[in-house]
Amino acid sequence: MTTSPHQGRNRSSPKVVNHEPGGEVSRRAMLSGAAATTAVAAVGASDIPAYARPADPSSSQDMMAFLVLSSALTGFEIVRLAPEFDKKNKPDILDADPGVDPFNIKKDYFNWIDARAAPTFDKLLQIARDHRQSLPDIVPAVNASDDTKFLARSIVLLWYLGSWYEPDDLKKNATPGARALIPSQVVSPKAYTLGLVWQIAQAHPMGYSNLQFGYWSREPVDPNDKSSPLGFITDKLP
Amino acid sequence: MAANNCMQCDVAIVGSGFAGALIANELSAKGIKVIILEAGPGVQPNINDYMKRFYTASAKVPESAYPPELFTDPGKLAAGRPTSLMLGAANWQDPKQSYLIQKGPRPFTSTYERVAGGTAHWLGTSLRLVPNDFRMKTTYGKDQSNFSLPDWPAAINSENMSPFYARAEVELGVSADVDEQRFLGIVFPKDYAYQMPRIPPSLLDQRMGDALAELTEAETRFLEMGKPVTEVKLRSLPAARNSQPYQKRRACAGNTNCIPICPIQAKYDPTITLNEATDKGAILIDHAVASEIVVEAGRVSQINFINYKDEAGPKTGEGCVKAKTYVIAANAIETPRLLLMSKNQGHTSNGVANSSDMVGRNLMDHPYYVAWALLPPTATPVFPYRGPLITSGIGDLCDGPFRAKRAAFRVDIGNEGWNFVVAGAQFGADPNVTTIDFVNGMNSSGLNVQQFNQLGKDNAALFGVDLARKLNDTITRQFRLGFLVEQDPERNNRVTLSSEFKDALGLPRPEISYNISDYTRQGFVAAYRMRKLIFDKMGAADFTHRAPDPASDSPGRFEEIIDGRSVTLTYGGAGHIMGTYRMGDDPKTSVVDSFQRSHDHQNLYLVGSGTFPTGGTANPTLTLSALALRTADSIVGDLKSPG
Amino acid sequence: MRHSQLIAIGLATAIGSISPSVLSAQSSAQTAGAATASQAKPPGLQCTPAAGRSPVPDPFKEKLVGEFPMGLLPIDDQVKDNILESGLPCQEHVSPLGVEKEGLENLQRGFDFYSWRTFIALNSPADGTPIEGARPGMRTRWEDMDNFKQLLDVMLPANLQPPKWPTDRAGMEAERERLMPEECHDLHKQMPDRMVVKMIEESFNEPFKTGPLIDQQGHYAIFDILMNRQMFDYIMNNHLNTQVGQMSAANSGLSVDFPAGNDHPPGDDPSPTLGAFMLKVSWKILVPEEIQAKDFHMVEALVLMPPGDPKAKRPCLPETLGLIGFHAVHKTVGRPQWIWTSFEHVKNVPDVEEVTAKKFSGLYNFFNINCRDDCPEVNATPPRQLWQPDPALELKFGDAKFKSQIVRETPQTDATKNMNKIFQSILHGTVWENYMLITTQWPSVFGCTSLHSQVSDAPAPRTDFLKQPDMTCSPAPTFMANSTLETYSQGEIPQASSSCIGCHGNAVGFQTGASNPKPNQVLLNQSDFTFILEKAQ
Repeated sequence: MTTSPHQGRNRSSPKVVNHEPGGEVSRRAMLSGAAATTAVAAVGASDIPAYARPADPSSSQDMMAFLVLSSALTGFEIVRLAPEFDKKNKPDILDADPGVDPFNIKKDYFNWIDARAAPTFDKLLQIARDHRQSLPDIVPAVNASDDTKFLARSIVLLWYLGSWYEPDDLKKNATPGARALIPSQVVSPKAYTLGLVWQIAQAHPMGYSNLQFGYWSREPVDPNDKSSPLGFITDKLP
Repeated sequence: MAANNCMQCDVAIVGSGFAGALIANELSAKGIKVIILEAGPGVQPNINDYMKRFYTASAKVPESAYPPELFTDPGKLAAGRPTSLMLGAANWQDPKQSYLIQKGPRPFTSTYERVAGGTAHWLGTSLRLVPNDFRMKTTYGKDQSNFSLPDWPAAINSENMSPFYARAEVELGVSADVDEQRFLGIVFPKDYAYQMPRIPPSLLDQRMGDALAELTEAETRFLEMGKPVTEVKLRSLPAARNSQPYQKRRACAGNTNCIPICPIQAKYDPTITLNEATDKGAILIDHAVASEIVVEAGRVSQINFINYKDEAGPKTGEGCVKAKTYVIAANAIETPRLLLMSKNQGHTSNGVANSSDMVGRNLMDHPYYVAWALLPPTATPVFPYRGPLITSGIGDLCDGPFRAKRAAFRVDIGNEGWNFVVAGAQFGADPNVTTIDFVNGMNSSGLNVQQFNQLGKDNAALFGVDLARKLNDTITRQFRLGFLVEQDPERNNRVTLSSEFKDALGLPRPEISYNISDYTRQGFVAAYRMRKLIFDKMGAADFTHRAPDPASDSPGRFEEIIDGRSVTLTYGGAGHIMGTYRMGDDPKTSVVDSFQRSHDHQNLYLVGSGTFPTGGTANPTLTLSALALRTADSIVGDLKSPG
Repeated sequence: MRHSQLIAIGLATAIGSISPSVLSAQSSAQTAGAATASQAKPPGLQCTPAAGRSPVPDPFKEKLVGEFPMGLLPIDDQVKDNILESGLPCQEHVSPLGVEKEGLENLQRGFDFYSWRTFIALNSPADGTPIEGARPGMRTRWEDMDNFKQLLDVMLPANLQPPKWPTDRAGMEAERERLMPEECHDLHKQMPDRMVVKMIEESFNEPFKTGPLIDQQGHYAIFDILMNRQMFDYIMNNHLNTQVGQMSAANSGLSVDFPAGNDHPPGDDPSPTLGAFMLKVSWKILVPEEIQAKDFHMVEALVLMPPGDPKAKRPCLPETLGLIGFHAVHKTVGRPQWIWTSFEHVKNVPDVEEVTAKKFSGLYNFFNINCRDDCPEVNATPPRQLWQPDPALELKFGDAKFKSQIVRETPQTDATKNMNKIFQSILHGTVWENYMLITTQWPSVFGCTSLHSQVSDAPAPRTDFLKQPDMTCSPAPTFMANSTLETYSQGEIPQASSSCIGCHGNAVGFQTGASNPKPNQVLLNQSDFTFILEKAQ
């Protein structure tokens, strides 16, 4: 079949070396000294949290913080990221129920990010907690410092593409207008099939269609449906 | 190899791809005992492994679903193969990365698989050649002594091939509308019907068809069709892709990854026929690399092979098979490799079946020119990434008086946006590249500038709603074209054996010399102009030839002066490997006859697209399948007749 | 949790349940022989609607996710009786609220409970004997010709069309005689009451020709497909029983939409309706020791071997068949993607954890625990050349030494295993305690499923995209395989590995025509999640 004339260039190796972001305190070091540092960060105007406690994948509050963060970064409403999400009429979004759905990709992603970039991830979750009344405030806070900015970009790409791009690689290539092949690693077949960019394109992942014969001959937009085809894109909290 | 330890059968076949599987099936149905040697792994019980490889591949190239591992030194593989990742400036001539030892001057850019089922990564397009494709010299080159495109043998023409095309179409299961396919004189019997209704066209097809429905003669004069062209029709591509239940397989669900693999086997692949053959008694020996064709007294007497277990080898044993008739169906690079490797202690020092010296020569592809564009923000989106990878094309321009001077082309209309063409594929595939641009403030795609991003600034880095809306707005307006340009046969485009580099079994790797001629390059020039016409009619902005030039260091580039300007053009491979043991009536200038029987050895057949004297512009699979069935009939006849 | 933008009209009807205290009143509807002279019993299998709307779908108070609850067994007799007499559900009654921690777990439990009730109702004796009193070899309700019809008796060749399904027994008998294969005539005269299994390739070769399954005695496993009256009626009313009918002009715009089970259907006739129901069963040929042991539900059958060499006569063999696998698929108003449940005999295969721990529970039907270095490759298909059964060998596999060595790759969840323990104790003393639920697969995004509901007032979607991101509405669990029916496609790779809804979502019929002949007019050749239509001749 068709090979692009240039295709040989992009010899991206499938294996990306896992490493903690350089210069960060390792998670283990932090936990071993944890007894002395249990001060809780104040929710305040400061964009960079004074202290970010370690993320706990089994905590529904931490998962909600992750979902709030992800919603702000991806522009997707939380129920698209977590189909069984239930606000439960709680005033504080952190007390909502993230739910468990058959794919549960949020858990895979939470664990994946936590294993690779825990300290900065903890900071991002704290930013989400600090600004959980208003999604649009999260992004400027994230952009205020390089470590959170680039990890946030990795997280967006993770949700959108199901692939992991190391924050350091993104940073290396972030000079404006840069053109580069950035190495990546597909997290899992499941993650690939749940990439959000395909919904944004009003299509489906290449290799994973649940649609039915002939659909490509028809518009994706139903004239009967008056709501926007991209109704899942929002900057509002549920 | 002790002859009395050999396996015995009536017909031994090397290779289990399209041609090998079809022949094995025809023969087994008649009770003929068949053994098939397959270099790679056998048929898998399910495609879990293939799909997993595909899903987790960071580069979803045509080979990405199939073993062996993509990033391995080919010298360390028992059954290596070229891949799309070995074609860049930095690696096409590095034997540690490229399986083929490419001598140049330009790269040969097509690839193949070595697994049971052969090149199952095909798209599914099942076009017949047009009548003049079989008669290039007679029709267009009578007055040119050095016209490089010969006629096919007298017995092979559009009309004689029609019943074989029909039989091949039944086995593959082709969806098409016969009235739509009667163009440029293609012969169909009066009440012919394809097996299934045509695949519905995509939204892009419909839009492009509308845009090309009314053209002026001035706009189309460059095509030199010999008659005024005021409309260019888009036609559905006949495809071995179910539009209904067929042979107990599901209909297409538009998974948009036909290449490399259809997740629901709605697209035909040769394991289907291979399984039918083995159900009828054919024996498939996998992990068996044929290493020598033994010739005694002018006839093939056995084929030796090497066994291995792991991808990296080493060899675990040897074997041989003795038969009455032998068929080599190992594709147009591996077949000449095997023929040339078979030296018979010096008795066939130039290789088996090679009295013409044509084995390995006349290597052809359909050099592929890709072009991609973006519709303006005011246009209705075309919604890529939906449906089969390609549903329609332009075939009407592939024949005409211009063929006396320049190559013809056929146009593919891609339904997958900029997936493999974005930025000339230098920076990865889409939608990743476009997405990363708008996340990381980069501009690999060329889109992240004010002119195209409508954001009032270059190199925007976005999050959230802004990002989602921008990507939706942008991706839904991307589309691409592909032009398959006919390549003429040239003696010095050839496959030989590397004297230096071997695979893990110690066999010499194929060495390739390759270039594209002026005839073909002028076909590219016409394609370049056609691209402009199409994009202009659709109001789209071309990104193919936009600075910075993606072609600037491509090893496949060449320059042409077009309308007074120097333009850099590049080609890729269509995966159509042809010509290296061509058919002809004259044994001095051809390797096989019209039945694909070797001129030199009566009991040896060489099948597949390697026998094509010219390539036309149609994908070769249907034609090679039809020829394989004709060959099967010939073999049955051989075995029936006494002696 | 439920997508607020999407219409959830069906929600209210889907969340209901059986009030345990009212279950006992339902038993009378089921007893076949109880029809009074003054009311004609409608033909076919009837279902039992839910009585009240208690929020708890099943009567057990304990969590089933995790360890088996202490003190849950033995089940109280009254509870046991209620369950056994509760009848065939017309639709599921499930709720995300319940004893389990997660909504999904509560829903799954509700579906698993529904599946067991369905299994019990379908496998109760056809003569009305309650299942606790079932004797080995008694014909079950689904084996009765009033309730289900085999696929091959519907998708007939042209010369035998049309199929008939009269409402009176004499008529049904006559139709059975009409379709009795010639090769079986003699045996049928001697053994007139035997079930007849007419084999085709799909009766021994698993879907998409993935391969036959060979038991420890070297016999082929046999598969059969059946449908109920409502499915049959829909097929006949829409002329879908032949390819010509499917391709007729009248069907060119047909969106195949089988009737749905509903406790409270809308419209003039509010009687509860079962809706479309289809079955796929797998059988083992029993050897004398197994017949003696009475561990399997047994059926005496005449098995007509599949067509092969046209010159060879097709043997019609008297066999005693043992039930080893049971798919039950039910379309309901709440789940128009159907509810897919599967049961297996407990001795079929070990699961992958049991194999690793070498914790076997005795001998298996499709796994040899006694082999050492000579163990066959796990989950490998048999040698290909011999797949086609040889009439001379009757139903024994061509290579006498080959036996399938099958392992269940995805063990059942704890919750399902615990539900099985409960029901096996309820069914103790009958052959049905030797069966277990694998799992139930159901579409989990409720807002998505309601878009296709007949009950919902939403206009039929003109495009598939309304159901994005997942047109199959996110099946839970994502993958599902029966070790006897999807033996070789087990796994967790999207698209490639077995998922009932995932695979059946691609089923199409032969309806033809342009996919979008006019703007806003959609043509579908979908067949509503069944491959039955593509078997039309």
